[in-house]
Amino acid sequence: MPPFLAVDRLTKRYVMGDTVVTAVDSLSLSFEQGEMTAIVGRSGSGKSTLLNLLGGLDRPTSGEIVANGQRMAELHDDELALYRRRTIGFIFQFFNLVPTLTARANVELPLVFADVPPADRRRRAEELLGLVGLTPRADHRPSELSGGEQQRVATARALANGAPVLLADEPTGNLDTKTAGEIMSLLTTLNRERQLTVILVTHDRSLAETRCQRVIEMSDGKVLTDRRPGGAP
Amino acid sequence: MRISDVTRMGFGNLGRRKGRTVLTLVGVVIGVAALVLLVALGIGLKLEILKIFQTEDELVTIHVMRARPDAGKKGRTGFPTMGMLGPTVPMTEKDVEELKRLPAVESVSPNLSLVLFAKLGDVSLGPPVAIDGATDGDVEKLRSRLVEGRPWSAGERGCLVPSRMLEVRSELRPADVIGRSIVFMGNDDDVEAGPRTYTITGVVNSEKLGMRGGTCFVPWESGVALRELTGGGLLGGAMKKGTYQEVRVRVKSPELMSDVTKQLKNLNYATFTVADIIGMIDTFFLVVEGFMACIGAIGVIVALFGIANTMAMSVLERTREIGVMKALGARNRDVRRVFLIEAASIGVIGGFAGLGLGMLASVLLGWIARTAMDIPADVTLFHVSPLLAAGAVLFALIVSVAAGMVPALRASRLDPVKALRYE
Repeated sequence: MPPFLAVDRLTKRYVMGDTVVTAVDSLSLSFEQGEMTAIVGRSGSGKSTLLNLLGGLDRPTSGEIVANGQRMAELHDDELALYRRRTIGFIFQFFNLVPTLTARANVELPLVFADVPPADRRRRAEELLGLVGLTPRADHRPSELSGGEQQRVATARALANGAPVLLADEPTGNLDTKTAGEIMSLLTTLNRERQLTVILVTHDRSLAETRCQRVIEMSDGKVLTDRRPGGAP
Repeated sequence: MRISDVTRMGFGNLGRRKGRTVLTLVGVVIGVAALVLLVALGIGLKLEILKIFQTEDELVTIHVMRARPDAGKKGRTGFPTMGMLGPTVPMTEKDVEELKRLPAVESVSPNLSLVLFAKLGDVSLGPPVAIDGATDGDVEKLRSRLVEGRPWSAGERGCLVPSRMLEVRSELRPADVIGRSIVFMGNDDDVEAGPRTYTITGVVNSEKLGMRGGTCFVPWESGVALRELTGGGLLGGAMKKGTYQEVRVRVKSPELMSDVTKQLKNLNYATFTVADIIGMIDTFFLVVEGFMACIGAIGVIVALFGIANTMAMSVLERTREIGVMKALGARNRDVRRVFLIEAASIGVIGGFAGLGLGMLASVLLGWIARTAMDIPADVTLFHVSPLLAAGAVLFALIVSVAAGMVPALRASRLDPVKALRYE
């Protein structure tokens, strides 16, 4: 089976003041469908930049990303938006829920951009809130939810469009250990039961080692190690 | 994105910062209200002036003059007649007979074009007045225009004075002047009063007489004699007996006006009708209304900067959210539309509220003006036409969208990575 998501000699440089920073340095990697991968590394090692490139939020300076057979460099801005909508679900460290919207409306948001009729998206949002165990909180706004609950809503939102890839940037970075474990369990379950490809960036090496099938360690924009702790699944 | 969703999001975003939205709206509301009020004043004044001309009589009357046969030759000017007819020559009884023979013509009344000073008893009435002779047929028509008194009887030296002359010049009630004598004179006051003296038998309603609302009527024959006696009146003595500067032709129905006018032009007459005057008034007031609109528009333009500021703040505050929208699959144009609709909502709400305020203010100001300045109730001061109403709201909408354009474009072009990192 060909790799679902692959990068080839991927480089991303950006200018910070007077210096040019190479965040991702000629990186070649591939991700299998249904695999749960953790990317670890120190701050500034380029892991978040890699995630943004994979998610179509950012464009590389050079190199190539191929997603599901499609070369991303060939995509226009609108097509890139479609890629983010159909292929990628994002989860952020700070949840990034829209503060004025209820949990349900937050989950519906990607469906709004996808032109899904109101009745359908409401049904889908409630189904997903049920999946993450937040049905009773559907009408609450983010400020009325705990951190863990907010991240669950964000996860439900990332799943709304049925994207096959979940990209999570420090999803547990803002949560206590217990809640972090719960969120990781949720992601593991989704990976296992829905065959979702999960790529998460984390500082927490132990969480990565115990929960993920593959751990990639990055440093200075390059891959330092690339291991499968539990052996190939 | 569906239109309903874009609208809901854009509109809904206004509610996030209610205070700021309200302040921005106040600017738009005041601007639109001022615009509506000013233009409404222009329209109101125009309607009021048009009322003078659009009387039943004027709608079937053609003012006819004889165009000078050599009209157009350089260096020769005829009688100055409102400056729009070109040179004319006096009309004769022969011309009057010719006009009477035209099939669509109901009646023909020569105009004495006589302007003289008037004295009511010993009281001078100030500015000169127009005097015209009325035949028995004319008198019958004037009968229905009377507000007081009666037409003169046969052989009586009676005079019908216009109500406006009393209101403006001496604040007399119509009933006060019936039976009093009125004397007309030119620049030569030291003449015997006899043939210039008339007894006021009635007062006619100026409103209903339109363009002739300031004219005193005397019996035709005595009017002709008066013109002789005063050497043609204050406008000069060019008119010999049996000649007229202007003749009024009354046609049988308003639909025949343009046909008869064409016929008359072919017979080398110069004509003007109330339509010409209305055309001139329309043109003039187009300029007036345009000027009013420009001044009024200043307020709305100032509000534009308020909207632009609000929208720029709105984009800045929601930078992170824009990043999220993009990460969730919103296209640039989706983001742009949400912000444009947000700006447009300010314009539409402010436009309608401003229109409402403007209409309310025009009613209030109209009432105050009428009360304070003793203006009759049927005088239009402010008139909000449907076109003005629609135009004001549309203008507010266009201005607000223009104000939202730059912030919306900025929002749509934000780099999602930077936007998501924005604190």
